[in-house]
Amino acid sequence: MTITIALIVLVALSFDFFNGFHDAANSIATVVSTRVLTPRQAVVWAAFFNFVAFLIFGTKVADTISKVVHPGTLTNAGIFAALVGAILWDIVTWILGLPTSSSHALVGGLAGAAVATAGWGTLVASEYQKIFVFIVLSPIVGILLAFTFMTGVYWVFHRYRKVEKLNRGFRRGQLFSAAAFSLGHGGNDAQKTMGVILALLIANGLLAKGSDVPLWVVLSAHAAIALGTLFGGWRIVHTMGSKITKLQPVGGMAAEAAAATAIWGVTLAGIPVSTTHTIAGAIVGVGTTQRLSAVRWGVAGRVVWAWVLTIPGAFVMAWLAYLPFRGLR
Amino acid sequence: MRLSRRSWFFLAMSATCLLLLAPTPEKYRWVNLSMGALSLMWFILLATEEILARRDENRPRAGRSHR
Repeated sequence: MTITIALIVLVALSFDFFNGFHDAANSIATVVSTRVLTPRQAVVWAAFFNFVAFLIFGTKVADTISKVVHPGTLTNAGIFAALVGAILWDIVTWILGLPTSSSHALVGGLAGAAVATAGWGTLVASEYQKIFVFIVLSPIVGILLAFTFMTGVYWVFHRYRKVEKLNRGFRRGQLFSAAAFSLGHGGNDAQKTMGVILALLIANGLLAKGSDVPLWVVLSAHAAIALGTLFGGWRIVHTMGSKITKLQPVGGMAAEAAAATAIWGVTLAGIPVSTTHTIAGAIVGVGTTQRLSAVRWGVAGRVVWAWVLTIPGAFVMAWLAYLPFRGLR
Repeated sequence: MRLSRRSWFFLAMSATCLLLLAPTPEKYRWVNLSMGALSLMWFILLATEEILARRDENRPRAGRSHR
């Protein structure tokens, strides 16, 4: 029994590793594409702030994730299948270079495994409703905040003639905005794995119902996501950093500051938004300040399709992953 | 009056935020309301700028004689 639980915790931490690996692009794409940091420096910078995020954020998002299926529905095999489904979806989208949400892959995986275990009635509709609403809202928040930040920056500095000096300032500013974004990413995304581990420990009677997330879970989740970020996901850096729209240091800083503001806000409120959707929206928002055609809508459309397919895709993969373990507790 | 696609884009985002108001849990509706208002503000500002710019373009320039 203990070995099974330890194995599932390990798979959960592997998911967290893949989350960092897949989403490293979100944190570093803009700093790399504007050449503020080299790719290697950028991943170390992001990984450090991913890890220290546990000092700032609570565990409200972890609570939300652990509530997407009715308590007691998922067996150990179900949780294992959910994680495998989410990891497989992350790998597929990484191969295709698509910046999809690891969080939604996890939610889809949990749904697939729960339905395979005990039918559709196991899903908590209100939690899914909240998640679906924020799939649409998070890119909108990113677009609007980035557009507002960028317009504000243009408005303040449009008479300033020393462009070189200004660019240097923005490059330095990008270091802070990337750090803030990585903190938000670590805070929001590591908590999702904590939620799964928490549900697993409660289901096996190792923790009482309503317990807080133990410190070892918090530390290991943050360490796994930071390690994943260190390994980076270069395919997605390219899509995010240069394919959606071409970024200058000022645009990179505005996009990251906007996404960081949004993610910090929602993480503190306990809303499990996708960091990927928010930063992709923010990059579109920066492109929109030039003109709508500065955004490559073909690439953006492909990304949106991948977002739409993430929950059903991970659902199917988790459902299939569960089949060989049917009958096991 | 013809407005650019960018202005309509902001109006569409504002409408989306308001349409999502019903399915959003009450606790989080402030996100829809604040983003809907921000988007509407940008629509109004961008549309006003475009209308004023077009009016300036159409106005006959001073000092030019008409024969």
